[in-house]
Amino acid sequence: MDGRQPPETALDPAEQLRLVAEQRARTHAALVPDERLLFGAWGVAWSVGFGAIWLASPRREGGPLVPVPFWSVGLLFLLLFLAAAAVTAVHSIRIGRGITGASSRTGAMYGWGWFLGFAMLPTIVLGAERLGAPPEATALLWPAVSGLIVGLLYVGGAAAWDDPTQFAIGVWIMVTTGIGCLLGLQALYLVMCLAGGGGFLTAAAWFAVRRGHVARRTAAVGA
Amino acid sequence: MSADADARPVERDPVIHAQARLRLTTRLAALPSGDRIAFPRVQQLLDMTAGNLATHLRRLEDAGYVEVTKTHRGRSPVTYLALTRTGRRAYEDYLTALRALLQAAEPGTTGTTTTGGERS
Repeated sequence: MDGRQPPETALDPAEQLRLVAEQRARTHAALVPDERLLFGAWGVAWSVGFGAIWLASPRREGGPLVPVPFWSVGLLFLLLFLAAAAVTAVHSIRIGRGITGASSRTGAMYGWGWFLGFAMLPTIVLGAERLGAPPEATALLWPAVSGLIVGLLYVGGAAAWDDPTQFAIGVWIMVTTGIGCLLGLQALYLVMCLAGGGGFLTAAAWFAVRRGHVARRTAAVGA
Repeated sequence: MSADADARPVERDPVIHAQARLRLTTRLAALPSGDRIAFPRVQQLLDMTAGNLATHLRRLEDAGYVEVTKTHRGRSPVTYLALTRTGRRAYEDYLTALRALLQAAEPGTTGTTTTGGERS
């Protein structure tokens, strides 16, 4: 391995094709985002985060199901979402290391889209508050606008990477958020917990199954 | 078509043939076209020494298969690699030749029937 002219080991064609398949699979694993990890992280954040908020928020006909201080579930929610965002950012940066060109520009612009979208969310809520929107209305804006941003960005990502699964998830998040808004604030939390979080977890499971199929097929065909 | 391919001896491109270069071209071919990958990342992906990788790269570069771009990121110099169009085509031809050889070597199969069977 260390000479100037390394030995040109000749493999037979079958071994060479196996080598090609193995190298392709490894490149895929190193350069393509692991959807199981990303959707799994967001699935947990949505289902646990919105679930906790749903449990702690007052119902129409009285107090909350679980009487804990609302700031504590708010903090839990924030930590879960920051954790999922950190997992996504670290994973994306690891994958993109040392790669430059069209796809890394696409990824960078997409990443900034997420960051800026959510950075502007508080200004929307603040604007509504300044116009005298009641607390219940501004409370609705947080999950409602978040769901819209998430749904639209998944649809945009699907368009950029030609990924119908991402498109389906984006549409699902957008539509369930929209319908949830009509059902009232507490119901919206439950919708985002079950439909949103459940949707992400289903996507994670679906990708896990698909990866298994692809791996088995690659191993069988050898190319 | 298939019978025609069997009649000729299947040539395998010697530039790609060495195991290290087959691994290298496979890795580069897996990148979307228009993307470049930094030398150290390739080194890490292939688990090769810098000297060894450079030796094989030179061979591919001389054949016009790989384009090496030297640039700066901040103050540090970075070398990016990408398969050229010629390189991508040569790699695909190489794979076609491999499959043809494999089919020719497979006992009990004829050149005309194996193509469909292999894909399933």
